[in-house]
Amino acid sequence: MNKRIAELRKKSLEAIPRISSERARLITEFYQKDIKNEASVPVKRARALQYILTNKKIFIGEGELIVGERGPKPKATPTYPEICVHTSDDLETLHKREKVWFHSDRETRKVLTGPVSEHWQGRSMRERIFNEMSREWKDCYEAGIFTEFLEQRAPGHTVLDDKIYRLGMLDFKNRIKESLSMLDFYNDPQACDKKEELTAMDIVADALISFSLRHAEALKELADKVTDPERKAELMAMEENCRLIPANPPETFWQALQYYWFVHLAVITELNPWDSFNPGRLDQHLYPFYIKEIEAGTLSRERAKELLMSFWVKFNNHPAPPKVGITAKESNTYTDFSLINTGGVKPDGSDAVNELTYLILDVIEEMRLLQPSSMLQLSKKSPDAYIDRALKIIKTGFGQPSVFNTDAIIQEMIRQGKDLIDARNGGASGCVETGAFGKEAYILTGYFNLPKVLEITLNNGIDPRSGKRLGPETGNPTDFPGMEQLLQAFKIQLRHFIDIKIRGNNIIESLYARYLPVPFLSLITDDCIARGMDYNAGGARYNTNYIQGVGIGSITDMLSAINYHIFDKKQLGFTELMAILAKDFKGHEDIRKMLWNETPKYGNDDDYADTLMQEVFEMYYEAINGRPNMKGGLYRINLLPTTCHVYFGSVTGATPDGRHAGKPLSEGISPMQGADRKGPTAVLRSASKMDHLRTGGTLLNQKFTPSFMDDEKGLIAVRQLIRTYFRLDGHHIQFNVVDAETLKKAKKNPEEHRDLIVRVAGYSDYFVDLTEELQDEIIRRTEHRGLDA
Amino acid sequence: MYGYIFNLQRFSIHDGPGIRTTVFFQGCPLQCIWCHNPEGIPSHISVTGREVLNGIKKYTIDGLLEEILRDKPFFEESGGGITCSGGEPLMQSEFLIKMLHRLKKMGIHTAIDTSGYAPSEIFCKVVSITDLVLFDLKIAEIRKHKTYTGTDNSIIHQNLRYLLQSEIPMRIRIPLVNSITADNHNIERLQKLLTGRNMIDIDLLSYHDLGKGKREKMGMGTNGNKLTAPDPERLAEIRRIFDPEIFNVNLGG
Repeated sequence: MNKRIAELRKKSLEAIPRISSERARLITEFYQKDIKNEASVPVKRARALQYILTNKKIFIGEGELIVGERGPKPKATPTYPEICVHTSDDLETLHKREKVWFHSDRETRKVLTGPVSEHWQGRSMRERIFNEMSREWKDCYEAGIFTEFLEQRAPGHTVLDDKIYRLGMLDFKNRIKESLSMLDFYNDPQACDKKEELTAMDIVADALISFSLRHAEALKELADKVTDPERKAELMAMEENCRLIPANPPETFWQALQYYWFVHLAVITELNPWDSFNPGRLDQHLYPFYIKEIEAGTLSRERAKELLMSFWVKFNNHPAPPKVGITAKESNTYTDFSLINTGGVKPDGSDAVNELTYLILDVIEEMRLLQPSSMLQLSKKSPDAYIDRALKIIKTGFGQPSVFNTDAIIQEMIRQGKDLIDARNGGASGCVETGAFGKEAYILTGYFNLPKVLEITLNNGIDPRSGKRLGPETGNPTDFPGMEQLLQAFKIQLRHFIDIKIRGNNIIESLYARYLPVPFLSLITDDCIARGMDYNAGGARYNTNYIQGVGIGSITDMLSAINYHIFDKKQLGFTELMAILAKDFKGHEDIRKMLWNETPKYGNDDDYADTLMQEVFEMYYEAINGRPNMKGGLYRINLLPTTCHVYFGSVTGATPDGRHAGKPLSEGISPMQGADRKGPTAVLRSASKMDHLRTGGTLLNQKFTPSFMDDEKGLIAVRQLIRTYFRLDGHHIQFNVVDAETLKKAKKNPEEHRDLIVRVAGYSDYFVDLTEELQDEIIRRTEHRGLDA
Repeated sequence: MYGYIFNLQRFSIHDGPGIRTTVFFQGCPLQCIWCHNPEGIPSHISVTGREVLNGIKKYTIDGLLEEILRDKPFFEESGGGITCSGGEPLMQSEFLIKMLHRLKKMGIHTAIDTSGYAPSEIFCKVVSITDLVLFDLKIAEIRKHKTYTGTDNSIIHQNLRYLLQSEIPMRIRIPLVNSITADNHNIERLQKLLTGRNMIDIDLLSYHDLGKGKREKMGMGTNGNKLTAPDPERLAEIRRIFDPEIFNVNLGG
């Protein structure tokens, strides 16, 4: 990386995440001024965005090639009072908490807790939601049976396709005009609403153009002042960029990036949608510009790389908006999950890996930034060179890029009834979520705590933590003659809690449609213009809702332990087990050890456990898949945790697999930490017994030490592991490189780290099985490699 | 008929091509003082003729095949398969031969990792139905071999000659322990045994401490020898001893 990029990167890393009151102040000002204006909700929302973009401070950083910030400066992060009003306690917590903090000064707090709070209190979405939720919903929410994604952040979870690279805002305006002219006021009872929605979209298209022109003016002013002729020329070129796009489609690689970035800012300024926003298949969208300019000699590979790096910095400047309460626990990170896709297939189904794919991988490797996230779409047609290149980045251990199975993603979408071409143009976003980019609203509604539901089943509908009855009476486990009755009871409880969750979701979805339409996100999502409908009201071509299952590894082990020790071996009674669990194993360490060590567990390719996993999967699927949402789409399942397995673990008591109360649950579809003992092929075999193609994404984490991929042979073997897992229809795999700190913990506390495989001179072995001297040697070796991010 | 197996190792990538499952057969006629799998040395039959299953698993052929073919998709993707190691797999030759036949019929790639210490007719039979032979060669000189492994090496040399003259794919694996196997004199003499092919693949395997704890637990001493591995410079020197025209030398398994 050159000096300029190094400088930009450093500044981004050093910028302090702070709360900015700018957006909250502006939107409050707008609604107060506009109070007498009787415009429709979508038009008001559109004008509000326009007001913010017209009045917010323009920031142009030294040396920047791509311009535009959501706040007044990098990492100055806005709040969204129409969704969540922050109290002074909230701001204090955000300011002081140890992880993922946001500083706020006295002036900011004065604005947010003063005029902003005064206006929005009682009107915010968060309050509306909690007012509308039933007592039983609140009880479940507080018990940690599920979380609610939309109580502090808006629906979104979507990705852009290639349309902005072909269409300028003026083209979008023409489409709106056309759609308006087609409105049927004779027969369509919604024609009036559609007119309002389309008018709103037209307003935000204009708003983006003038936002860009404000940057052009600022760049011009700067260019006039700058004496360095090189920078002056650059600033003038940037000014030109900002005058051409977004009104018109981009003509150059540089303009394409700048255009996307303005679109990104508008989406994350309009509201705070989950997973921010994402250019998706960046190597595909930019390739035509890249190759045209490379051939014409107007762009060098180096310059293209520099522009991409400058673009990368912009993502890193934008932490996820501040979260509090349970939302902070389920997603405790600055990352806002902009997941850049590389590779995959073209619309005609052929391999899409190109020269730019490799250039982007170079950028990922050199930038080593938390944001944006990045991933590989690996299809059976992708060349080995592509994955091998990526593995060289993966093994350096900053968790990127993750690897996805394009062929599975496409089949998942086809199963959901999507068009083949739309599926090929799609990919994965957020953590692992499958989506038809540019055409789908795929909303994650919240995590669901599977082990907790089993805990409640074992207590006949009562949550042992609070003593409250949350589920129906499905019998005392001591009365169950076998597994069948237990699973039947679990199924009834599961259905009961899913019903409560979906009922809540339906209300929340309707609230967003009514109070918080998003004309800008609608403008760029097919077929909102054609349908004259908002993204939040079902305007997208596809509308999918998800409930994300957490802890499938844990619940499998819990069931397996009961089946094995109580029903099969009869070496433990249910009454005894329940009493021991209630005491968190106190005084029964021998029993706990037996449950932990001598239970057939998920992740070992052992059908005894894995068939139970399949049964739970089927029940979860049956309870959710195919149920209607409020947008004309359906509910689907996926299995991922972000950081929720830790929160869910904290509300779940001791479990029959020998896990202590409050400890984390298994994450994603990975085995319980330390449960897998037969190496990576066994883990992948276990995981592939799940029918990934009936989900919208699963997350599998695989751990290894850096030495594992030291030589060519190790690298190739990892590639073959991935290829085989994908042949078995696995959806996603990511690799966590284990650092010396973890090894030290494993040495001290072997039980939780029994799955850790390390390389010892041409051989691999379980770390916890090594002699102390060898463990120390490997710790030293790992430390020596310096895995700083 | 049963096979006596002390370990099944999935995802082996250093015992032949691709991703493999290695089957560790119980029992070994040799007692190398540097052995890293000492638990595989004792026979599953005690001196009084009784079966001793101390951490050893007893499998039928079907039972074993079911277990070891679980990674078949990985074998197919990687060109891997099954490696029979030990112990000395040829000690359980009847079981081994039946198993190799079955695997061959299924088109699964097989390798055996052997010390070469077995009656000639058994050795010839086994290698003729195996896709790859990993031949562990240790010490050339007879008395020294006896001192450090407890056995005579003339039968090993005879089997080696047979193998070299055949067309069966093979790799020679030499464990390197300072002043026992890794001295110039031994390496040069081992080299002299390796004639009869245009090109021979050699894996130099540096000694490591992995088996030390296990050996101590089993009461295996080192007769006062301190076991150490050659350092990287010494490794490079050893590598240079081999004539590059004939030997393709690889460090590590």
